[in-house]
Amino acid sequence: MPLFQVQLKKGTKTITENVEANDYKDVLEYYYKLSTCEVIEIREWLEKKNTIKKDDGDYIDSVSIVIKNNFKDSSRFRLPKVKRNISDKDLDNIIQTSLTVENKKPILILKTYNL
Amino acid sequence: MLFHLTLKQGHRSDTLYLESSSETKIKNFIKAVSTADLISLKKVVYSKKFGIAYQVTNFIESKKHNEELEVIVESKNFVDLINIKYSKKDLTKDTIVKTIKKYLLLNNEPILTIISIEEKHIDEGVSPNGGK
Repeated sequence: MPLFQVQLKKGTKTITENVEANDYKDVLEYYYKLSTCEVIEIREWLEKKNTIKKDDGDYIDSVSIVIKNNFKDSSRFRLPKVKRNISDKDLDNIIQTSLTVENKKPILILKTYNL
Repeated sequence: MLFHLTLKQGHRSDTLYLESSSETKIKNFIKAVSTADLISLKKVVYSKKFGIAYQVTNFIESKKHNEELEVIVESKNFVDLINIKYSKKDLTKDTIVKTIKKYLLLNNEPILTIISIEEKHIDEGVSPNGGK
């Protein structure tokens, strides 16, 4: 059951809706034909959970990370609630094996710990 | 592939975009580095901001619109309500019916019947052409 989250823009307002369709192109056509809003993003739902994990405060608040590939493309993000027992080196390793920048492996990783 | 993630622990939610070659790698990455739960994971399939499948168009925003249409739809086994915010002003009932039936699904079933179309708020006090 492909479910899509659609972000629409109407003037200064941003609207988020969920619609079910076979393909994101059908979602685009649906809004193009009926709506006056601009479709700015479509995301396909892969997983959703409703449970809430208890907050015991035992984590590093966040780590701001910039990663770059060998073509100098970069990506930046803030990783929240980082495990205390993960070393700086292990974090680098898992970023390199798990993430990509413009489909390429990151070669430079810059981190700022927000304690 | 670009993914949109929401992490949650306690009351606070954090949302971020990460790029990876697979869904499994993203899940394993979060599990390994964060104490927060991955409560929603989505794949970005179209994006103006990130240039994913986006085709530059001269989008002209129409100021003439209906505030919101409420459409009750029915498939073989289900009934649901679809809200269309800021729909085009000049839509006919036939266009709405055909478009919904052609492009949307309801619990993986084709939409067979449009039970009703109603307008919640009306701009300038005018009903859509053919609207109920």
